Amino acid sequence: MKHAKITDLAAGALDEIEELREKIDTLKARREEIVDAPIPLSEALSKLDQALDGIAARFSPDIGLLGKDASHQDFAIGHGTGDRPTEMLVWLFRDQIRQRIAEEMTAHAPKGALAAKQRTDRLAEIDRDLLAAEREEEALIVELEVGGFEIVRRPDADPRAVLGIED
Amino acid sequence: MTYNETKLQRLEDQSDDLRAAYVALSDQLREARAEWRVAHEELAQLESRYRIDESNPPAAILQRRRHVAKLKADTDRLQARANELSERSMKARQLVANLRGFIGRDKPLRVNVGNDR
Repeated sequence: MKHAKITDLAAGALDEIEELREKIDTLKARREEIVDAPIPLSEALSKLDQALDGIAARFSPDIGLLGKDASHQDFAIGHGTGDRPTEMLVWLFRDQIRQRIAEEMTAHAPKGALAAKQRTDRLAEIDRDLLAAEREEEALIVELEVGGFEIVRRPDADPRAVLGIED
Repeated sequence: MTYNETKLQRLEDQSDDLRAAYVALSDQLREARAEWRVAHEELAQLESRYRIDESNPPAAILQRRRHVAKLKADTDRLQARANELSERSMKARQLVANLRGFIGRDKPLRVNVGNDR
């Protein structure tokens, strides 16, 4: 009779572990979706501005004023200017390039965008749920081990859950 | 040793035990497969040497066939067990590497929050 009870308990715990593992898989899949979600257009445009500024800043033409008696021309553009055509173009036509790219981005803005704060909050929430589920799973595994059952742990189990470590 | 260190050590020991069991089983499997191959080959030679009336095969042939079938079933069972052990051993090794890696970047282990006995 005692044996039957232990077996029932073990079966219950195994079912719970299975359910928790499904929950963990679902949470991890949702986490991936959140990580991969596109950023809002406003953020993308801001990043575009930063990128264009960065590209333009890498172009620093070496232009010198020579004085009338030094040469037949009044100024010179240093060698190497032509090595960086993209940088030179952005330096020269930043606003036109920005406008053209922004139009394309606006026209093809993806749905389901997440702002940085939203993304961080949702990831933090999922990570909390994930760790809680993994701690629960580990507690059940330990319980079953104490009862003489051997459960294979997931190789990617969270070390904090397996080793019982605080966040 | 703290609870965490003891647990990690136990998981490492389990991983090593699984690996050792897998190696032992692989040896056993190799021997079983060799035995089956020899028996299978001998049976095939016998069957090719004599014309066998399949509606009434000789008892000796039937016995040999049963023996070969049993050896094959034993080999298949061992193979299945070896596959299972191999997978468990691999998962255990990956888990230990995962835990070791975590501790490596996160020393010292902080306060234990659960399952401490």
